[in-house]
Amino acid sequence: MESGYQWKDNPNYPVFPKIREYSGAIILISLLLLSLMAPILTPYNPVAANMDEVYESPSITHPCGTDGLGRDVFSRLLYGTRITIMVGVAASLLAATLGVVIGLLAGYYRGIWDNILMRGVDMWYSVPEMMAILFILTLYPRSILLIILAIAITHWATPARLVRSEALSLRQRPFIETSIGLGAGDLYVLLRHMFPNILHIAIVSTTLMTSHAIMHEAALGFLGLGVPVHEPSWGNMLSEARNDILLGVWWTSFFPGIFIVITMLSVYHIGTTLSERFVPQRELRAE
Amino acid sequence: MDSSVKLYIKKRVIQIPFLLLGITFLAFLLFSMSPTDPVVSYLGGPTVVQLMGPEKVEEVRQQLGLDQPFYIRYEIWLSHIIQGDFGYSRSQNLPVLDAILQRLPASLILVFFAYTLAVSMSIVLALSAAKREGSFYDHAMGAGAYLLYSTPSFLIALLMIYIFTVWLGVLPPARMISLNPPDGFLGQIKDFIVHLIMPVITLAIAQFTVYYVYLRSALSEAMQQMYITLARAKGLSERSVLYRHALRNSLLPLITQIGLSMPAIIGGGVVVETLFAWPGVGNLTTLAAAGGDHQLMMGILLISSFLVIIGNLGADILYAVADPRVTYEEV
Repeated sequence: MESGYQWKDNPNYPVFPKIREYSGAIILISLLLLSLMAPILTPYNPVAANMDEVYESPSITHPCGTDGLGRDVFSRLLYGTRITIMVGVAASLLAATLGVVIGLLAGYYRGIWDNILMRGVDMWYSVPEMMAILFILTLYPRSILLIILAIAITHWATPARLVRSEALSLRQRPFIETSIGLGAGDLYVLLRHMFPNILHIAIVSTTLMTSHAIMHEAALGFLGLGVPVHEPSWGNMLSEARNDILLGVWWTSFFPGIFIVITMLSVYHIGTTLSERFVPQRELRAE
Repeated sequence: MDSSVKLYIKKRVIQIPFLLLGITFLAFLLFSMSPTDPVVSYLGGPTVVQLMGPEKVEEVRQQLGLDQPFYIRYEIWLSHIIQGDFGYSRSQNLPVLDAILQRLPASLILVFFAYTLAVSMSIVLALSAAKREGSFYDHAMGAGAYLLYSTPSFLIALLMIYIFTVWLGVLPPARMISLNPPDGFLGQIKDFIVHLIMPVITLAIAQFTVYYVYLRSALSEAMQQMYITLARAKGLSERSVLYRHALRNSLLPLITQIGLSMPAIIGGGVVVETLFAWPGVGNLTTLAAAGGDHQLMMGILLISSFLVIIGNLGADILYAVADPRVTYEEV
């Protein structure tokens, strides 16, 4: 940063931040570690059916019970974490990349480019997200990649709009004008000066979008339209659990539900913590 | 209303057809890049195509005009739309427009009650929290809203089904009316209400958390304003300061928020209606997506986008009516 000011300099943020600030990240990382250690933690195959152990309630051998095909819910949860979080992170990274590129170009070149972008954003905000995702899903054979693409394509507008408005005001600032005046090329200015100054927006919106994407993956799986059925994602587990609940079997939906809520909470926490840290910087800039 | 507001609204109305044109054009472009052959799905699957032989299939393709480049097909599709012909839905065996219009009332009922519930609940609870600012109750409500916001609505629906259907056996888990509805007008009304409760709560809860957080922070911001100090100095009771001064000013931005949540509530309807087998457009969308019914999907995309645009415009007009200070300078 040009002023050399960092969040650490703010007296409200000590050099070793409170554990509370890290709690979201700690929970998310431990969840990921658990899913990576799944082969050690659980002896069961997440996709192999076992008709001798259908609908067993939670016990020591099956800590989260078994589902209608006798599969261990705990091991399906751990393996499902990989798929669900991968879909969420990949989709939001893709959407943020798309949004940053479009927003930067519109804010830097202004004029006609900006006009086209803003009309595009208007259009995107008029279509209900879920309808757009389902429309894209009908066009191609279903795969994890398609789900990621569908979620990413429907989420680029928000980061694009945020980045654009920041880029528009950056473009007016002296250090950009000077750089252009000294003969710097467009690409150099964009990458060297504009991009680092909108990065904080990109990071916060990626984090917040990850939770959206996880929610969408779960909702799509729940509708039976998510990642291929044989993959043990959280959404797919809940989709099967829908009928179990009428039989009074609560554990097939309860545990995936708890996992989703914990993940969402920790992702939100990371997002809000990050945006709080970026605030002092912004206030300084406004002065 | 300010004259600039009238001009702004006029411009927005003129924009509507162009927005819809852009949306359908993009959708058509995506559709034309799809590797799935529309003729195959039109004829009912690859086995039928094999039985018919390639010449017959080409004949059908020409009849349908699918051998034309995509912009000509878009032009044809558009001219049909303008004449009110949205195509034919294979999966429903109905013209697309009929299939959607048949189910639209059920969806609108659901959305109307969900909005009413979400708005009234958020006002009542935000006021009750604002009265006890900084208390345990206030913090607990804030944390509760945060928790609820992180919970997908279908999880809450599953929980409700477990409690009210499986455990207590008081609410039905699906459909809008029973298979064998009871006799008499009152009995039918009661039957309908019983079916309505869980879907409405599920749809409302996601919006409620957003409105609550929004209204709560607007209220505490309003309480810091000078006019509140003045109202207190006049000797008004804390109750009328909160209700007649702070609340009225905090409700204005909520109108915009309600307009902005249109896409979410219509999109959320897809999950809720499918889960509760509610015979609305959301349920139809799932059927269309599962059956690969492109014609129906295009129709749904067009009509739901139209509803969102109208809803947003309505919210903007309402805002300008409610707050006479509003002017739109940028236009």
